[in-house]
Amino acid sequence: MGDFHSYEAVPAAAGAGKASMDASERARWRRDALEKLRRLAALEPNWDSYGACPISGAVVMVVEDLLDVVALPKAPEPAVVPTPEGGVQLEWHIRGLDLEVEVAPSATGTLLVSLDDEWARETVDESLLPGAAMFYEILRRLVARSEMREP
Amino acid sequence: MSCGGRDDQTIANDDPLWRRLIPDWVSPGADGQPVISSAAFQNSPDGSPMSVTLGRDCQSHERAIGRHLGYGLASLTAGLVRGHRQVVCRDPQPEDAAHALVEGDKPRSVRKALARAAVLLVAPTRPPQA
Repeated sequence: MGDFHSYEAVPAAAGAGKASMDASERARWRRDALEKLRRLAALEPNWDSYGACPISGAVVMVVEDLLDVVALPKAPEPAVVPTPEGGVQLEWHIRGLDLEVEVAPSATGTLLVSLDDEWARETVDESLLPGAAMFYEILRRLVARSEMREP
Repeated sequence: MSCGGRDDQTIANDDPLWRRLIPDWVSPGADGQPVISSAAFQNSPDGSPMSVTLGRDCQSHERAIGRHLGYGLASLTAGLVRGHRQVVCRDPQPEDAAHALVEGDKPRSVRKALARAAVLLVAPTRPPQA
């Protein structure tokens, strides 16, 4: 088992899931997310105290590109979350919509996309290429939802 | 470390199972309430089952967190995890007599269900930045 010092503290993704943002805020969260990603890349083995693997360098490169893709105009801020097997997932939890986009070290060529839309009563679990039309469709739904009021 | 597929029935359905949380596994949701990530509820990368602490045996949040300063603590019940095709068994360790395992496949749907059902007992805290 490791200890606290094996887990480098990472700045909070403050405001993750907050409603839509303007360009300067988007640039700010993208910068913060990249900084957080850099820190996650430095995590040592067993950073979760349960035997987690370090974050893979290949994963970091893919997530850097992914952050550019998800930084659509008015896009809400994601939480940047390490996974025990050495991957990273971006998460949004906004107004009945839970979206996870995971980059796993075993499959950096694809995105593991999981959407639960409580309002639309829809669930999507797909392995998608970063440029897939369906992925952009989901991102547009995320942006639209962030601008909507509660039903 | 394995349950061998055998569920320990001496662990009651309403017994709490505690799981330590790193700060990055808890983020603020749209309503400001903390959201626990599904990444917190995964089997170990080496293939062994997910480790938890039996709350009834441990009794102290501080003891469960131990030397992992800044970590939080989430709670599930044994009955809830059993409802997701998991088995629970004791796995006492020299440094953690209340250690237990939650064995079973955890596809994303199960991880998300566990994350939604988990109760945040202790919010993780972040130490001052160097």
